[in-house]
Amino acid sequence: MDSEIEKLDKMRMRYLEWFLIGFFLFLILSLFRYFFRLSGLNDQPIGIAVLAGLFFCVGLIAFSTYKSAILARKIRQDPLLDEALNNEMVQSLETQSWKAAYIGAIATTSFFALVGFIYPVCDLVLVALTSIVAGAGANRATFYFKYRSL
Amino acid sequence: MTKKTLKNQIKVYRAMHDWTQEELASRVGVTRKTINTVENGRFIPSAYLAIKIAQVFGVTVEDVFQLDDD
Repeated sequence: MDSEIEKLDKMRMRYLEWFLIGFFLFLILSLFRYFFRLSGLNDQPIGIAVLAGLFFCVGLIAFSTYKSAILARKIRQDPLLDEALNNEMVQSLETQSWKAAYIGAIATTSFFALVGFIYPVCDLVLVALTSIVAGAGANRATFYFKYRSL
Repeated sequence: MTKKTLKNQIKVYRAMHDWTQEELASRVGVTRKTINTVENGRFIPSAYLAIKIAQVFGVTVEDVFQLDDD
């Protein structure tokens, strides 16, 4: 059981790493896509490469989320694994991560509210989605980096 | 009023039993990281975890954990 606990702990962090890599690459490539659209480069090979990269990132995020969910289910089903891997330290980090997610989402929404005074923000769905994405990213990044730093 | 900090003797008891952090973690049923963070004072364990750690060493909680003036 001991080696299984360590193995599952490493797997959990690996899936989280994949998620964060996909997430941050997605943000960077989205910026490229935005600026390429302004310069009319999105139809060029480099623009298509960026689009392919975005699809890859979405796939990576979906895959890592799926694997994490499967792993979390496996852990929950075994009381010993659940106690070992979702102990109070992990629960404390999860609470801190949700706090970061809340701040991230509020900060993003506030940012768009301020921008709205200068430049009309018409796409409310985009604002909502960006806030959710910022919250989710802040949540997972906080958990990962705090866990690693311990 | 002085601030109290939680000191522990986990490293000492581990050495007495010749256990690695991973070995202690498996006996307590937690990850090596949890033991590492408790041992280095970066995480204050719950009473439940403190009792489990003391139990595997075969001593009382007070033998393993003490409150010290900072």
